[in-house]
Amino acid sequence: MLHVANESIPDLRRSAPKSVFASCYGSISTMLGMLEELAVDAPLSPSRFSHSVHNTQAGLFSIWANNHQASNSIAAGDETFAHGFLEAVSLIQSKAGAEEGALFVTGDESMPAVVADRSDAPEGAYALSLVLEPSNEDCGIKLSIEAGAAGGDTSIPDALLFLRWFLSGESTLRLVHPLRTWVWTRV
Amino acid sequence: MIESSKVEYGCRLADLGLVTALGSTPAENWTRLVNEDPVRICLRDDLIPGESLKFGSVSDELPPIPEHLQRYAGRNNQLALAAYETIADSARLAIAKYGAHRVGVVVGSSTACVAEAELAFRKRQPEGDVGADFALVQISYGGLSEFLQEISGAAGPCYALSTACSSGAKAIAAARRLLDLGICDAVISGAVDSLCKLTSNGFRALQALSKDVSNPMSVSRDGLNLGEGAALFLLLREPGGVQVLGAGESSDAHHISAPSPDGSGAYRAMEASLADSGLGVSEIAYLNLHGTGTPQNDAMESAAVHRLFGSRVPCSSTKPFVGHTLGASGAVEAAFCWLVLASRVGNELILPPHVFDGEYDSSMPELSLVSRGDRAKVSAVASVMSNSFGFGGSNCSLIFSAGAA
Repeated sequence: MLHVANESIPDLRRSAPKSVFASCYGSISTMLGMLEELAVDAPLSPSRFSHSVHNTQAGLFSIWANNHQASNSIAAGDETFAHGFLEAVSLIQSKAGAEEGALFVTGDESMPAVVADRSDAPEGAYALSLVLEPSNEDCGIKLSIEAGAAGGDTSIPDALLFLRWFLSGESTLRLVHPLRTWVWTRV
Repeated sequence: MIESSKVEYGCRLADLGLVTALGSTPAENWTRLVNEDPVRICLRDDLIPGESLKFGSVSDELPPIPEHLQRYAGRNNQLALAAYETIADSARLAIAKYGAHRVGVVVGSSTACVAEAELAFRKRQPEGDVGADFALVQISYGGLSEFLQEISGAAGPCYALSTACSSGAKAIAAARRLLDLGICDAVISGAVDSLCKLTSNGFRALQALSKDVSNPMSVSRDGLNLGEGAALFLLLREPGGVQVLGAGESSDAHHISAPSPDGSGAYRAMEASLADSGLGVSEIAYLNLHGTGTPQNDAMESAAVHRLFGSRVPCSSTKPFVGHTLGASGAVEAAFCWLVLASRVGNELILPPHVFDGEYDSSMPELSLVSRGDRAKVSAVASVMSNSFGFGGSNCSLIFSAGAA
């Protein structure tokens, strides 16, 4: 996630955006490593513990970029990407809003071996970083939320479905989940 | 000038469920907080191998997770359910009035159900599979927001915010943005954290745990007590009652687990919250400190508070009553602020006392710490502030306001 954040920063007009980091499982290999240590009453490494929080990447990013702005780290199961996008939009459109846009970074590690075979474990690792800027009504991308349905595409992470759509030039993307359908439209 | 006694802004904390070491209802918490009930922080020897330390455990029995939601079984979600039950009627009314898709869930946590994952790993054979007692959802923060969505029937945006010890405050700030932008008409928001070996041994490794009940702002302070709890609000886009009038967020950009020593990150969050609310420093009648009782936090926080407020604003840390509930602390302390405003007597606020040994650390700038029985005089509208600072240099300061009843 830090790598992709780094890659997208040169595109920013200003260097201090607000940011959102969205990940379903966060620093899961660090977390599972500590669970193995706790199971045998081994002492934890203070540094490892400090780097196990969900906002580790956000904290490291702020230090690396010397960025003092608000930064949020979220998780929302299968809908982590869409909710992270929404959180980033809310940061740049709120009353106390940001003229400078927001950095939105999303990703998950590959599952450590101890849980990789589980039926609920996602495959592979990915990270995507987007820079969102406010736009007026007649250009850019619009996000709306509609009622959910069964049968959404679960073949690859939502972030990659978004990327494929973004690069394709198609007008609309619908990410369908049981309770909500997230719709991105090019204006 | 005519002073209105109703706050016209539109982010109302309409109802509150609160479970901490002090009790399982807002009323129990409030009575024991202001009467300085014998401190309920108690010894536990089951969390850190070979050590008995003091924790803010919830001792009341918690409701069971319903049969059809067993995949979410875990103490963290039981705490969430216990708090939710208090606001369930208000949440149902909001769903009936606005529709399920207009009601969101934005909650904070830093532990999720990791306590149950710890048990599963303990049962595991060396190099073997973790077994059926383990589920990935136990260590995914989204499990908490999904559980509350299932319990409540809300179908609007639903996510967990996890930024260590600022999670709860930031969740409330994020919920308020969803109301501001018209994405939701109501949001179930707050935070939940439960005691577990991971955080206990982690903070032990950081040498951050106190040998006794924490002693914030004292020259003898030696760390914090961990605690557990849940505070859930129903937020509505309507005026009146207790309002979230300001939210300020900042990043230290200093260190992953230590705050910026000069308090500049904390200062930025408080300053941004004041700017957001439109209030001046003289209009803040009480400040609930982050006040963990670690040498680093109290030194930087006292510097930041003094730089912004001087030594005028009455302040206290409520962590000696409930422990440091980590990700839940911002919401638990928002709940205490809600109770301060809701318990207003005429033109006075009853304030939670700052309980410590009385030996203020004179190397820090002076603060006005609340003594038992202290009250704050307020005008028609009363406003209070709460601070939360977390690992990763994640800071959030909230301002709550309410008019006279």
